[in-house]
This record gives sequence, C-alpha cells and structure tokens, in this order.
Amino acid sequence: MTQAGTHQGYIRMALMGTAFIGLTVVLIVFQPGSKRQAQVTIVSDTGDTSVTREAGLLDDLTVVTAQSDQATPKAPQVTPASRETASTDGQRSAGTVENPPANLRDMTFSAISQVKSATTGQAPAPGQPGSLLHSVVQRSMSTNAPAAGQPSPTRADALREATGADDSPEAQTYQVRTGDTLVSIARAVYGDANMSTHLFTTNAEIMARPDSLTPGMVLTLPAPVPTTSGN
Amino acid sequence: MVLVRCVGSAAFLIAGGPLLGQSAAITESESSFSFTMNGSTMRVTRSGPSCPSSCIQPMRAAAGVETFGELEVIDFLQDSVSDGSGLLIDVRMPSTFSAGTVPGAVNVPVKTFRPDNPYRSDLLSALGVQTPDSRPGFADAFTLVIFGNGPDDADATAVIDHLLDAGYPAGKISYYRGGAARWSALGLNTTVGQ
Repeated sequence: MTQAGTHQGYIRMALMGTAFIGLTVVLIVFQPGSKRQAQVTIVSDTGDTSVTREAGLLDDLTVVTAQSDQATPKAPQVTPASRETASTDGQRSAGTVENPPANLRDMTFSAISQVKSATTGQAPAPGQPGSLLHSVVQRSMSTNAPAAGQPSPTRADALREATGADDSPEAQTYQVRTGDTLVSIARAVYGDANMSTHLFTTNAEIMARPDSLTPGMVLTLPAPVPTTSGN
Repeated sequence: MVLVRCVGSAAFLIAGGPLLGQSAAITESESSFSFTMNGSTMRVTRSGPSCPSSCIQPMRAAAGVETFGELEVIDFLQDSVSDGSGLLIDVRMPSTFSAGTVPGAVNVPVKTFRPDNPYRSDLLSALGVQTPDSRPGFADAFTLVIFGNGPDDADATAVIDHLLDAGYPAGKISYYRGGAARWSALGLNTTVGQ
C-alpha cells in the first residue's frame, strides 16, 4: 500500500514536472501578452534595414562592376580612359594631400643635394653639412642655445670657424646639455674625439671625473690642438 | 558735350566690360594697353594665356640684376659654371625640370626660396653663403643665373626678389628671361634633369 502510494507520488511528480517544463517551454516560445515581442520585431526590423542597406551597397557595387564589365566590350576605349583619369585624379589628390608638410623639406634637400653634387661633385653624406641630419642637429643645437640664454656662439660651425680663425679661443664656452659626453662634445665642436682629453684637462677644476657632466655646466673650450687626426 | 562724353564712356564701359573680362591679362595689374599714334588710338591686348598663371615679366627683374640671353647663358656655362663659381638655377617644379632643362642647370624650386621655408638657411649655405642665419657672408657665394619656364614665368623674378631680400648681392644674380621655353623653342638641346 505504501509502495503504491510512493508510486503514485512519483507519477504525480513526473506528471507535474513534465507539465511544468511544457508550460515553461510554451511560455518562453510564445510569450503571450508581452511587449518585448513588439520591441524584438522593431529591433529585428532595424537590423534588417541595416543589413539590407549594406546588401544594397554591395548590390549596387556588383551592379556597377557588372555594368562596367558589360560596357567595356561595347566601348572599350571610353571606360579605360575614364578609369585612367580617375586614377590620375586620385594620385593628384593624394599628392596634394601629402605635399605641404613633407614636400617642402624633401624639395629643399633634394635641391641642396643637387647643388652640392653640381658644385663639389658628390652629394652630402648623412651627417655632413648640407644633409638633412646635419640640419636637424644644427637646428636642435641652435634652438637650445637661445633658450639657455647664452650669447656666446655654441654652434659647431661658428665654433669651427672661430677656432680655425683662432681669434680668442679661450673665450669660447660650451653649455652642457643632457646626453652630452666629453667625446660627443669634442666630436661636435672640434670634429675630433681625441680633443676630449684636452677638454677634460682644461676643465679639470670643475670636473671631478671625465664623466661628471651635468646639464647646464659651462665648459671652457681649449684651443684646438692638432692631434693624430687633425681638423 | 560733357554729357555726351559721359554717355559715350559709359557705353564703352558697358560694351567693353565683357571684352575686357574676356581678354587675357598681360601683367598682374593690366589686361590691355592703349596708346595713340598719329591721333588714332591703338590697343595692345592678349589672347590665349592669361596672367594669373603667365604674367609677362619685365626685362629687368630688379635693380642691379643683369638680364641674359641665350648666348650670355652659354658664356656663363663656359666660364663660371666650368670653373665652379657659378650655378645655373632652374626654379621650376621638379616634375617639369625632370622633363628637360638647359644643360648644366640645377633644380632649386621657387618654393624653397620663400622666407617661410624653415630650411632656407640650409639652402643658402649650400649656395655658398656663410652663416646665413646670423651674419650672412656672401663673399664665397655662387654667381647665379635664374630662369623659369619663360618670359611669362613670375617664379624666376620671385626667386630673384627672395634672394635680394635674403641679402644676396644683386651683382651675383642674373636673370635668363627666355627660360626653358625659349631655349627649346630656339632649337637648343635640353638634357633630362636627374
């Protein structure tokens, strides 16, 4: 009897479970009376329109290419010409877009290299006077020098001329910038890395060691001494 | 009488306005010139090329700047360019220059001579100017002959003006007014610019 009761209980549980699951599925599928259904349809509508737009564009493109492909056998001289003009127009517009910032610099330095090759027979190597690298280095040096408020000429060219003319070489000073080493200063000022030892001995009273350079320190520049590789 | 003249001039303006508008400009300011000869008025007009792109340049580009013809240019090439003291400068754009130019010419476009070019001092130092930023020294600067597309190319005279503004001595600048167009129109050979 009790076993029949438990059997009936199991059957009821199974029936109620299947009914519950069935009802849940029905409610999930149909969702009677809910407004989300309308929203879902709207969303699906917009999604459909956006999709149809893209599809329309693609269709147009395919139609256009199909038309041009159909048109090319009829008028083979017209469409290639129009394509060429379109491509040249595109190149022109791209060129004018690229032109203003970089082109003036490139134009100037191609002109400079032409002038150099016409006068000296060879274009300036990178880093030599007349090259873009040299110009950038000089520009950064000359823009740093007035910011430091130092009237004495710190530009390498001016120094090279001044030291070459040996007017008053002991009056020349150099203000140390970040990243400078004695060798780099000697190479920039004298064009000779061996002058770094003279640079250190001249400034021994303010420099404890050859690498104790701090930005803003003012070095006294010694007169150029012809070392192994003279200037 | 005055009224008749006024009406006549007004009629001329109305009738001549479209004519003047159609006729090509000769210089930057004038589109036609009129003069009297034996009492009759004659006019100089221009058809075809119009001024904003092709303005007819004067014979003298600036005071102190000599104007060269083709034979003087050849002399300059034989003397100054050969001994390395002179440069024949083509101020046209590089694309035009590479299509063909006077033999020995160097392409330095007009844009690079403008004062707003931040790299102009590098260009001037390449032309032999000492320290173009602070105290420009022109003792070792090259003798230049400037030419453009033709006598109607304002770029060449603009370059001469820019050079004079930069302090370049007028005695070291000459102006080949004929330009590349007249050079090739005379049948003289051109070389392909590199």
